[in-house]
Amino acid sequence: MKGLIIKDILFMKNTWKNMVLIFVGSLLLSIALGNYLLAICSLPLMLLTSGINTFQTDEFYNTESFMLSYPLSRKKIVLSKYAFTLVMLLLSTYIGCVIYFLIYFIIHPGINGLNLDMLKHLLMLELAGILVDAIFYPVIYKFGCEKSRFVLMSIVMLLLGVGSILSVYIHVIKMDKIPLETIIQFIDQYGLLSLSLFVSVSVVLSYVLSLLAFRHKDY
Amino acid sequence: MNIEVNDLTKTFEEFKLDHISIQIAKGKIVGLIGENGAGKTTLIKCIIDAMHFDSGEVLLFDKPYSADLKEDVGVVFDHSFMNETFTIQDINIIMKNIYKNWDSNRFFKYIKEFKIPLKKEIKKLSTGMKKKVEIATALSHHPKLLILDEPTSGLDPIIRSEILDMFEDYVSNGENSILLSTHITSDLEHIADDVIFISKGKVIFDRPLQDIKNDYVMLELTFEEFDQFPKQDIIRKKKNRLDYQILIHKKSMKKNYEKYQKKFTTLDDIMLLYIKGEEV
Repeated sequence: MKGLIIKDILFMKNTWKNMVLIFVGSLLLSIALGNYLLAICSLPLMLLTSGINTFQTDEFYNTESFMLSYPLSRKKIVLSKYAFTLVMLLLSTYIGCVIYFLIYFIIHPGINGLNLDMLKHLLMLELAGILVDAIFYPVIYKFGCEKSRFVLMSIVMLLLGVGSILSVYIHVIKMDKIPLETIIQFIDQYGLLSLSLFVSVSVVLSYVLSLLAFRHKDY
Repeated sequence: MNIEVNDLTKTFEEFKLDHISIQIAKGKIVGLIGENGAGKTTLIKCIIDAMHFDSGEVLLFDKPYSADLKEDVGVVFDHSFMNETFTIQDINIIMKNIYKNWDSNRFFKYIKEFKIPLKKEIKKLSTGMKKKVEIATALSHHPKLLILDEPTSGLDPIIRSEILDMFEDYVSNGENSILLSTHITSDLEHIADDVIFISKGKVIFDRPLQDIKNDYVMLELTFEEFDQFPKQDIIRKKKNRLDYQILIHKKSMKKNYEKYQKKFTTLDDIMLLYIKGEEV
């Protein structure tokens, strides 16, 4: 399994130049705007979504059949993708923190608005990135990269459709009865924790679904 | 046995691998031949579990299939290898973390022998060199069994001959064996012990190569000669523009058949007559 994680990490050596370019662009934009959230989050988010790119490359080079000739069970092959994502999560958190402290102490010392809350936002964004991976992985295992775009686009369109319909009838809900302040306070206090729990459950569910799809797939 | 396939069936919408039973003994090189779409790659994929099958069983090294058994299997596919942005060094790093028996020295020895640049991406190598990298990768974890799908396609005759020598050397210990699927049947005529011929998902024959060579005779007959020829002796016939080609068993050869033009019978001829020819 370690070999497969290394394979996906090695794949990233071809993309690091692009990542650095995008990071430099986002850093310059952040300096111009005086808001460094973009600079702190761009590289970690790119790292977190690179798992999806590894699927695309595997499919492009038709590596799946060969991968199945390795002495690894299908379970371990699926697990390796999730382990790779975990490695990326740790790496992106580390990089995010390094960028944060570089900005805080060197690039723009003592800038207003750059506080530890920003690290909390970074973690929440990373969790959102993991959630995207958790949704994508089983769909890719089931339908392949090409078809999965259409499947996911259909899901998004469906949700947008449902949202549009609901928005028409939103006035039916009495807004004064919704304790907005309490909700905001809850998100502020427990947002990271709740999101972590939600994402953890989603990842476990995603793994089970991926495994079910991959176990029955022919290559 | 290094491979034993019993009564394997795999059904697709328009194709069926139909009750296939084959065996690959230790120390043997077994050729798998057949037309495009005959089911050779499907059979190989079923053996290594890249494809599920409907019924039957696959035994590797006399044991029911399990992923661990693939430690002793090296595979070369026709169109499936690794991410082509990888270099030889990348492949070595990945493989030594996948196979317990991965032998980096052996891998780099092959790479040096094949004169493959270490730092060049695979996609920048020629077709022949890519194939050599695949073969070197398949051989470098000391497998007891090699499963090769078109391993010599795209290679020039000299390199092909070198690789075939390597395969012969590989089985010379009497323990290793090779299942070699190929369109280049002349390669098999040099190295195969047995030949399995698959057509339309069925095994047509599974016999020692020497038996096949000794058993079949191909005759070329004019239309008149064909009309007079005893039809019960003909296994397959193929009508050409100017003549008939017929395949008969050597044991059916009678003295008066000597007058007909006898053709040196190759595996290709036999395969062609089975696929393109007709029964009488």
